[in-house]
Amino acid sequence: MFSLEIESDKLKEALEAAEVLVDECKLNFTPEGFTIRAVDPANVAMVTLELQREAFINYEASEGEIGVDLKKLLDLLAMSRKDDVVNLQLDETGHKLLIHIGDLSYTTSLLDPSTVRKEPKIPKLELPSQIILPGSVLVRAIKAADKVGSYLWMKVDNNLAAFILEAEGDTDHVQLTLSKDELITLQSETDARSLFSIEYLLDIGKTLGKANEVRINLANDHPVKIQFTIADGCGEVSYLIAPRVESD
Amino acid sequence: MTDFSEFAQVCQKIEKIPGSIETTSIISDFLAQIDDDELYIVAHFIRGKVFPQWSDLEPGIGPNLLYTAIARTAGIKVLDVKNMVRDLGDIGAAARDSLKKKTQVSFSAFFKEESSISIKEVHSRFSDIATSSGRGSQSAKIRNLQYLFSNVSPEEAVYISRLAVEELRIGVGEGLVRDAIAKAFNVDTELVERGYMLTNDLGTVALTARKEGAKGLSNLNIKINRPIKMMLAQIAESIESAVSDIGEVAVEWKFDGARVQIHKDYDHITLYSRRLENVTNSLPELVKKLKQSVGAEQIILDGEVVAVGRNGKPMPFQQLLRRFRRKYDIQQMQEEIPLTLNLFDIMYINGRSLIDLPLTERRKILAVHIQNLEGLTLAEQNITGDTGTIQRIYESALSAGHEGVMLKNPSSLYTPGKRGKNWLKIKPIMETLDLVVVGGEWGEGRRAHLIGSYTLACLDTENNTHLYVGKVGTGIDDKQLKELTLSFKQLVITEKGKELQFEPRIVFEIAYEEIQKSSNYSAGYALRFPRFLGVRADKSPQDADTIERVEQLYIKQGTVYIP
Repeated sequence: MFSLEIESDKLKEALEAAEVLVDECKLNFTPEGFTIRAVDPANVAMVTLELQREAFINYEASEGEIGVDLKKLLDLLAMSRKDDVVNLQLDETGHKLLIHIGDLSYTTSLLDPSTVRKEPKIPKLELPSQIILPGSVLVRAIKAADKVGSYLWMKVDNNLAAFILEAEGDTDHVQLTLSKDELITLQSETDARSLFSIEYLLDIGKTLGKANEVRINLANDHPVKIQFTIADGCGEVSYLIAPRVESD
Repeated sequence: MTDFSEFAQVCQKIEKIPGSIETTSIISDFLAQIDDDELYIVAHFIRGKVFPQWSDLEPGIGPNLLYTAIARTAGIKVLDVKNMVRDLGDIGAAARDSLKKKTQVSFSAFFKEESSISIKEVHSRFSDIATSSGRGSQSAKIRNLQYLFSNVSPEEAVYISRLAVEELRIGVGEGLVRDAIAKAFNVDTELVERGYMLTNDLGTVALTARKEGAKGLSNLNIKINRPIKMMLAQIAESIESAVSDIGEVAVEWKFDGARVQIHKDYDHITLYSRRLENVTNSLPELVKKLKQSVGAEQIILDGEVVAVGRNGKPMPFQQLLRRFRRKYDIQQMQEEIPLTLNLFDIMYINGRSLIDLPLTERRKILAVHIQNLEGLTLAEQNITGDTGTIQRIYESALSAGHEGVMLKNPSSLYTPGKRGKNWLKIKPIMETLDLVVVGGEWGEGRRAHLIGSYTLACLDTENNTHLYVGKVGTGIDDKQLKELTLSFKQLVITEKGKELQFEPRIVFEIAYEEIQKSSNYSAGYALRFPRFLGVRADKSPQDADTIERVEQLYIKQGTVYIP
């Protein structure tokens, strides 16, 4: 069904982006590349991910899906050294994955895709406010907020022309105000504010720190969409996180 | 596909009515209307179990995990949930009240559909929780629970949370489920009971009753590699009373060890602990010996594993427990804590159940198929009605460091899971300890608004302080519980969540099965199966027993481990 060759680091980066939310997922192959769509067990954080064939050194695949234990696969890939090339192939039964990393060759069992949790539907959302900023800035704000409380406000204040990240604990408060010139982009017609659980932001923070540009789409009491590219622009990761809403 | 809300409604109805006849018919109506997969699940759910008895799986959800999941879904603090559990005395009610307002939205809210969850999905989430292990498994468990809580109504959350801790509290036990299955599918209760005893799986029994009726039920049998409940013994008043009740008895040593059930399926040997957990991997030398000794293709045996010290006497029970469920250093532990296996019963051989045979017949079959080896023996048995002989066997068992004797009715059948009068145990009574009560915990359920458990301490006179030796909650009747709660309320120093700290004023007299070494309590010892005997009103806290006395009693148990 497929045979591929890719720099180990690129593959790890892609799989880690899903692994921060789920232990197991399906990889969907097409001749153009592979995609992952998964939601965390609480149904609060979603990831969609695409890695195009251009990201690979060699890519041959027909339509199909496999079930993957992400932790196990990343554990194997951790054995690779810098600049190692990984070769992945399905065995003839379609139940096992053959992996070559430099001089190591592994055979590992795949999961029956029917045992992997169903891929989520993606809600259609209007998220009109858009912010683009370096990943490291966002990660720093998340970490600062984590020291103070469990929830983080993401706000766009149109009067101030600023993106504001704010957390409040029992006794402490932390705020990071980023004005338009400190951001790469701020596009918003109106104010926006939504509250999120920091635990999910910390999860995805593990992967977005390296991204030069992270795009955030926001609305009022709505999920936030956080997107960035991987594999030198030949792939994209998109997270959606559901908000906390104070209501009856 | 049946919604979990329908199951919750059934539970609610049952909770409100006292009568068991009406309860049976509510359950049987529900069992009759749901589909096959759901029937299998509900047969367990309705009595507060998630998995069948024979299964290794359990949800493995501790209170703190559950409180965290509720708190995160509701957007409140874990301590708030704990306080609610204390005030309401029930995790279900606390979940319901916490979740009347949810602040963590899940994606379901952004699809224009009613959020609901099926019985099957609840079961599948609990299975995911039970099987998740390793790095990140705590978080995965919490998030699966969060998913359930965010997609059900507060009323359903009552039963989700009670199922999570496997205490449904609607007063439905095995007996009622058995009756309901019989009623729903119009089969004889006895047949259902028999099927349950043999399969240890009410789901299988319910499905069989529906699909194959009485004929199917009578074809159910013990299955190899599926543990059945162990037959249990009652404590006898005395040797004399046992003999006058039963007549001639089969006398065996009551070994100071751990019960195991052995399944041999050709080359494949599995050992189950008393709680029916698979402990095979931690006991490789027994597997090897069983392969050598047992001369049958398929067999199910009952026995007791004993850890033997250098002095030839059994090591303390907790040393033995170091062997069970161990995952690492198994090889090294085999040398440090060597085991012997004493076999005393047989329940199945080569496709045939033996539990309907009298003990004497089973014993004959057992003897034929066991070859005594070093470290694996057929337990010695004497059939006698002479109390003097029994007394001598009892004394020899004690002087060998074992617990006492078993007196069994020679004509009795093997009744799985039953603590009947056919097996009686005789053991010496341990001296009691007088301990100071220094803390407690608010109870739940029947013990709501009462202090249900008490932290016990002995004196450390040298350092003028108290050392914890355990907690007691058993042996206290309802009236005493109310009185104790009233007295201890006056003595509260601090209260945090459910936990209380008392001024050390009151002394309890405590009975127990054994004293164990323990790193969980500051005394370095813990009481096994502590039982409340009464308040020693005549004793002031300064007169309570000291750590030295606890130590002496520990040594006197005669089970000091000499390496």
